[in-house]
Amino acid sequence: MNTTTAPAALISEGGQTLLGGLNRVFHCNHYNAHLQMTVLLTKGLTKGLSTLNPEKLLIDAATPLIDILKNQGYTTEQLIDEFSLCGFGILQQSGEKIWETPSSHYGESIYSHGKGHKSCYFNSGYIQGIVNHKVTETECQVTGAHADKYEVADESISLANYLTKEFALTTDIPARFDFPECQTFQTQVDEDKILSVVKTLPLCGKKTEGATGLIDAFGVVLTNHFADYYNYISYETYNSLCKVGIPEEDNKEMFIQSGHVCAFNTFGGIMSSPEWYDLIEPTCKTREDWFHGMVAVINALGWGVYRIEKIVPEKEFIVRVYNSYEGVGYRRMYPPAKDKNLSFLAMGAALGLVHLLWKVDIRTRPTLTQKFFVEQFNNSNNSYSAEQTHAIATGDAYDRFIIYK
Amino acid sequence: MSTNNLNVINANHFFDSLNKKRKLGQQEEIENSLLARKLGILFAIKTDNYVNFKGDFIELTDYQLDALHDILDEYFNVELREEVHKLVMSNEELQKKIEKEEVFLTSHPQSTGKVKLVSKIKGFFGMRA
Repeated sequence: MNTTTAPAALISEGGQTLLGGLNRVFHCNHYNAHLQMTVLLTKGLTKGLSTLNPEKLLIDAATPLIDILKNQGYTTEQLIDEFSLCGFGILQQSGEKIWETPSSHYGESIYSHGKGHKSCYFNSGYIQGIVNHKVTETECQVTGAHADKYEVADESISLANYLTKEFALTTDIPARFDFPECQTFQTQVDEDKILSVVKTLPLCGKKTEGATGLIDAFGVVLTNHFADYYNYISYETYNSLCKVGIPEEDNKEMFIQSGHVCAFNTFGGIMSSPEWYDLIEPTCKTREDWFHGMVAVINALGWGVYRIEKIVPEKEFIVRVYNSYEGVGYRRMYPPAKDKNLSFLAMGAALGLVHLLWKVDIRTRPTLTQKFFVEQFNNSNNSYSAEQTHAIATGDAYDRFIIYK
Repeated sequence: MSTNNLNVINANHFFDSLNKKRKLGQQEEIENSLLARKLGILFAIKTDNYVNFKGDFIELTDYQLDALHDILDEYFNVELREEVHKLVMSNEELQKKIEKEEVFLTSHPQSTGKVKLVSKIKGFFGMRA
């Protein structure tokens, strides 16, 4: 479908990337798969929580976000275009009540450990937002169909916006290495240059003839996803699992592991890419420089502003995140939390970055296979632990993580 | 089969069998720590009881063993009845395990009360004092 509508403007604000006023964050198929798998663990959970239906949660979490975009003036054509632009695939209406995604991130790039099942929950929720009716996925590439198909029901749907609380981004963000607690670092890694170059990379899906609307980059398949979608499905699931008595450690580790998996695949892919070796590696003399380099790249992903506070190789690493999308998202949905350890993605990502450098040494260019993940990267030998000491979710000015041995 | 029977299984042997079966079926291997966490959560949801899969040994009643097979089929796409049956420790093996624990307890005077085996599956989420 050719359209003449102009895409919404991308705005960078306080480390977040806003499109249509909603923060978008880059994440890979591995993160999306692992997180979706974690949410689906609650299937069958009824004890005192009759409303929790993970499949419904995965679908319905997308719909209010589309409503927000529509309220801002998005047309159907713009929403269809943006579906591709953000790497979700190609979305098209093929009948009065039939939609399909001949190519889709969730239909092609997702994986699960169990039996294959229809997996394009997000896509269904996205279409629900467009048509204002209940949508059900009827065919999926995961189960062998040549395209994912969706049926629009007669039942109209109106889902409440879950971003019910006002919470402004902070503008009080220190410059890199410029805050009292920051260790003195000497590095040639130029974060501003890296940021400006990464922002020019064509990390968007296309819907021109023959295009897939997917974002193949750094050996993974990326999406520029709604941060609030991740936040809502994560915290609703986490809270539900807490209520039924799953030990906090097990519960948190499932979500943190999603970030750890993400770091292995996305950070690992980036630090093995030609772009990395062209732009960043030449400025890196030490392993610490690689750490600075990757954190600079992270600052272009919409995840917030990452600031390294301390590096004691082999012992301790401290990272702060201003405007972390998890912390900000939490405050826009819930009252302030008491628990500091709630920015699961950032915890897993920071831990994974330390593991990539100080555990498996990504500089030696290992092949990042599943076997390598299991036997080396994720092996408990020589592992570090992660703890969050400050949290925007609890009212702190920033998130702060300690990765330690 | 009585539902009160307690079946004790070596956790690492169980995870190895699971991954071996998955590999045979051309499915990817899953690391032990993730298996342990997923199984703990799934078990609590399916049976209303939390079972620790992160220790050296897994202890399951007959009823829980049935639930385990359902979970393995649905969430890990493996049929493992025969393998698990072989992994259930015999009375003789159990006796040896208990004796070993008693030795451990008597040689570690600070270890009192209920036996708790040291988990070999280290988590990565920490809370430092």
